[in-house]
Amino acid sequence: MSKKNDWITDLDKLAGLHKVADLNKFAGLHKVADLNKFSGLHKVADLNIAGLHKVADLNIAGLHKVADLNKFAGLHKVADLNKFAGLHKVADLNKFADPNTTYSSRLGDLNDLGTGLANEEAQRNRAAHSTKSDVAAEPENDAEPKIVPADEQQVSADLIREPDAATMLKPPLAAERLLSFLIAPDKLEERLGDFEEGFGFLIKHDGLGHARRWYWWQIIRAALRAGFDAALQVAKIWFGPA
Amino acid sequence: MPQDTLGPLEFQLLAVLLEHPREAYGITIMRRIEKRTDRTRSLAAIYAALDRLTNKGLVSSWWGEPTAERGGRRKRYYKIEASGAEAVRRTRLAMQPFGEMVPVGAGA
Repeated sequence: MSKKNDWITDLDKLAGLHKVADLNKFAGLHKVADLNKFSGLHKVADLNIAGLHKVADLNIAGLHKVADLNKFAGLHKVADLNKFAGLHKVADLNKFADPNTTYSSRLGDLNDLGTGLANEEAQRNRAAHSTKSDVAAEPENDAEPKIVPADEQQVSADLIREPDAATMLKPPLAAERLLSFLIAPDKLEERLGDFEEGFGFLIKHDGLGHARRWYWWQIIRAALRAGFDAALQVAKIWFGPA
Repeated sequence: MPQDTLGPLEFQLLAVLLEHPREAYGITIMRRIEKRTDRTRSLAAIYAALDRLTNKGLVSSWWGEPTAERGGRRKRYYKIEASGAEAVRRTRLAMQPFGEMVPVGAGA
């Protein structure tokens, strides 16, 4: 019998030894690599047979990272779920678990991620979609209502009857760009802010349609005034100052 | 100091600034004028008047904090200067005799 086989026999005799310290004392092996080389044990299951039942023991044996532990044991922990779903922040998890939204249904999905390898790809797609969109998650069931972001839920319910109202609560982009051409750059921040605040105020009090009409009307007035001012400047140059 | 009197919108605007010396900016000035006069005003007209008054030294301004409802943009607060208050007083005095000439309910 070779020397290696002799050691294995000795290990079997020492089946009652559950501590790494004992094993080390017995074999003088301080690293998992040594243990593997010695006994050909490559899996945690095997290590457990050898008496390594605790994470602390595994750490002593040289496995210091969760990633290593997971690789060895296939442990399905939050860390794994986060890595799987691309959810790296606690805030994201909270958003998922928020009982006020249909995100709560996603919690079940997250749990399934740990066990359902058959649906792995489909769930990865859904999770990736959820992380890409901070505004609304794709409902699993078509009958589920669309999710409205928390800051826009403050707007009264009658204003968000339209399915895409959430994206319409900002002033019209074309109008805002047109306005940017009409206002001097040093006054742009103040005045665009005033226009947007006025737009938001009217949404709450008179509805989205009225707010959009008001915004466009303000832009027409601003354009007319800009045209009038330009004509006045030309007239001053042409006829001289009054 | 300018001695000419103010136009109607300039007068209204300065009156609002006198009433709300610390919290007046573009959109709130417009709303207050609309509320008092019961007619709509455009922001462009308000800004044009504010620019004129600023150029005359009757009004000064400073930046406020950005807010979410403004898309993260800052407010510009306006404050009436002593010369602005004097212009309001002078305009009121100039208009007073004409106001007394018009009987209440005229044109009704």
